[in-house]
Amino acid sequence: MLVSRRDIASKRSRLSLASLLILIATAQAQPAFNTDQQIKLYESWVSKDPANISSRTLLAGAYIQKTRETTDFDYLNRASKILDGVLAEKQDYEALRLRNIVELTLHHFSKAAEYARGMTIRWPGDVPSWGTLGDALLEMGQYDDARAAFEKMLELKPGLMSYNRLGFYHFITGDPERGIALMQQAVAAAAKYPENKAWCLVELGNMYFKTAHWDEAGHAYREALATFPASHTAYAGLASVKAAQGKFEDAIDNYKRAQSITPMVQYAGALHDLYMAAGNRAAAQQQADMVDIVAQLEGAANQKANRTLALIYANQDRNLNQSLELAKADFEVRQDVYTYDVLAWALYKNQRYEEARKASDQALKLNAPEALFFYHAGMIANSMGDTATAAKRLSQALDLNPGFDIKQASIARQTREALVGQASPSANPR
Amino acid sequence: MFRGTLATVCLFMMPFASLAPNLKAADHRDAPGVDGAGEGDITDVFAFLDPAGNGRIVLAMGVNPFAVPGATPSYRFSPDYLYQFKIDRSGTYVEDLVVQVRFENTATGQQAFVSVGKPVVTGAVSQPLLSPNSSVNGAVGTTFGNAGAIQVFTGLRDDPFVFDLAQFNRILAGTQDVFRNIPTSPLGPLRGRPVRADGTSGVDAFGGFNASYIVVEFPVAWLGVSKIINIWATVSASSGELNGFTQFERMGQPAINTVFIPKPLKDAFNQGIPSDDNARWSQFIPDALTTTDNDGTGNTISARAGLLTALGLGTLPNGAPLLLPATFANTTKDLLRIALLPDVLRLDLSREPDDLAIGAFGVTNGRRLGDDVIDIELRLLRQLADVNFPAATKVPGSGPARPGALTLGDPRVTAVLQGTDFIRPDSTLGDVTVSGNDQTFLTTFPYLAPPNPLPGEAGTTPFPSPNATHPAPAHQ
Repeated sequence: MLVSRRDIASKRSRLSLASLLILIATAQAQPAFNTDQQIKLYESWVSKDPANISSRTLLAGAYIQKTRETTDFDYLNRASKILDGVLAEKQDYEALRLRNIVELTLHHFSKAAEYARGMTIRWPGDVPSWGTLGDALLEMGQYDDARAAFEKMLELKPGLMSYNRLGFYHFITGDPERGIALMQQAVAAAAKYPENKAWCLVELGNMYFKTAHWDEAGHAYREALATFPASHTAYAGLASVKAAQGKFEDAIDNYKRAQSITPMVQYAGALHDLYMAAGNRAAAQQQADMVDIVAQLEGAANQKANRTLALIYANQDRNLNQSLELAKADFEVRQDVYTYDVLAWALYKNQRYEEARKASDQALKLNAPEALFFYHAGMIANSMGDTATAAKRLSQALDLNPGFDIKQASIARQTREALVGQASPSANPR
Repeated sequence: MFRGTLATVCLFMMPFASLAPNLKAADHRDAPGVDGAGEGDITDVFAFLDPAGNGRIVLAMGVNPFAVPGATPSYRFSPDYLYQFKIDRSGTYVEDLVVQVRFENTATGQQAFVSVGKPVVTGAVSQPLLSPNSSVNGAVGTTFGNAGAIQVFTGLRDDPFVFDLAQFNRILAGTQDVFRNIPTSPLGPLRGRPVRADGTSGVDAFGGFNASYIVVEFPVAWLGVSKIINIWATVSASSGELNGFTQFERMGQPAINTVFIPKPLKDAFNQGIPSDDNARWSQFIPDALTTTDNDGTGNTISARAGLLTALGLGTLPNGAPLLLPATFANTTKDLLRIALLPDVLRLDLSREPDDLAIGAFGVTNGRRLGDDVIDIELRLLRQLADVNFPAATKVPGSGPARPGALTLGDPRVTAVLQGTDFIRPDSTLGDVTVSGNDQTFLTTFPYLAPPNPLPGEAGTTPFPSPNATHPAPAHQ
């Protein structure tokens, strides 16, 4: 049916035109083309032209991004298979670069560093490879070299990826102000994916939380959720703030949300402690069982290294031999301050105090603003009769962040009280 | 339910995948990879026949968008990149002739090396020509070669692109509705720029800026054909393999990547090749209206023309004149896809140099420096792009959502409503062969206007005159 101009004019009404106006006024930019849509698109390209290397590497990259967003390693496996296929045919630059990211994600740090270093020699202007190299070196505890890689990255291309990395570096090497400033720049930089921006916001929130700026931390976590609603790490961050504030129900709720998105074992560990604090032993046991299931699955898959699991077992004072084995195995693949700290804690729980102190000293060497490091050092010193150091370290932990952990901060406070003979101030943020 | 045994792996330093490789990007900083280095960021591509009718073809590509005159010495071409014009003479959208340009730094500036010949390999990976048909070299900032054979200019020129990019971005952001303010209309007041005393309302975001240009001219006879050829430009970086260069940037027609490709895919688009374009990108180009009603609401080319007229958008001062007659004949919904993809400039060597041939076998016949490509595209899209209006409006195209149509909530729809960005005086808007560039183009090679002067040089205001004892620095 053709419509004449007169028909159009006669069909106009104030109501219909008003609705047009509303739509114009509320016009939004094109909806974002999210990772799932990209995967679908690239899969269709590969399906139509399976030999096309460009399409295959694009699909592998989208799978890797999806892994970031979901922690579903099936996507990483798919990416890995694609990259294996491409690299068997051709030493494709993109495939090589993505292969490095897969290796790093699988915690094959020395291999990732070796490959990345090779790529930076071959392509000195390749920004992502400098990032991958720095990431791997950081995990391996080679901080000076990691910083050089990140600074090279920043020099080549200031942006989210370089600000984020350098910010984290400065934070853990004892310069939280600079770390926070750089992370703020990362947040403000253009992000290719909403998840990338949310990741930086969570990192920023973590820095605020660790330095007891709980309100700022909460704001960053909420902004992360507004940016990427499936950010389980943002929910976990919010939970840690709520727990520090003594709002256990809110903390539990947020950890459960995080757990429902991605069942990271650390969420089960935190929920266990929160349920115990709330007097719900049955729910706490369920979370402990969940931790054990993960441990069994990892064992069945011959995954021996897991510092997160090691820390949980040590915190829960159970499976302490296994905790130490897990920490030692993780130490075989990375020697950063976090692994040293977990190793120290597992050694302490196994009453190997001298070894624990040596490992703890290594954890403290960067003066990272990590209350947990100081707490562990304090408890180790106390067990060795070095009460002055113990009191100092425990005070450092509680001064840095009085709510660093629902259970451990309480122990720190009680221990310090016993040591100095006076009541410690309760948890108060800055 | 655990999704896998690796769910416990700590992701605390899982790297950003950075799906964009170490890229630059396209069309005046329009893609995510662009930030950082402009030497590989193509601003525009032109292909036209020598306007004097001497049987020569002219190809031009710009990089270094928004080059500021005050920082003139800082703009260079990258010695690490391979710049290419790719030409398909057989209709396959695969290059069978290439013009390759590389640069080397010298003690006093840069030297350009230009070769023309059959490509060693085709596609997104390139290799330098082994046995070029022709090679010349010369200093950047100069014209070199032979006016009877290949002639080349490389260096800064005035950016010939004209567009009210700032207002376009406001429309996309939803803070403005249209290019020119319409205080009262059947749609109510539409927010836009006010009309100035001289009858214009737009602001050319590229006015006063330069770009680094590669301009190449050679005899049409070298092409060996006298029909339609396809042309596009690429920039590639060393792939690390011997003599290998991987493409990270490309452009054919203006604004394809900018307007139609979703942001996360822009870099993938730039890495692609024209022969893949139809299969990969057609879904992002809207359906075209046809002569017959395609959805039962009277949604035809004729009805759209009527709607624009009824809304007062087909006449000045609120809209440019319609480009196509209401009786424009079209039988395929794929018309826009056919015109816009593959992303190449199509130049009919048998036509006169000034024959625009709008819609004859693409958007336009090649692209001349002065063509008002923005107005042409805005006007074609407002008359041809299928738009799904809300059912309550009861206008042609209203009703339930249908795939292939843009929706009124998409700001790209309101951006094209007026069919122009009103940079030129209203009295000239009927002519789309003049873009209203801020500088006058040359009538001879290299055709592009000289670069905008450094602040304080003649032609700039309101700077005081430079000290006569100090010579003005030379442009690159």
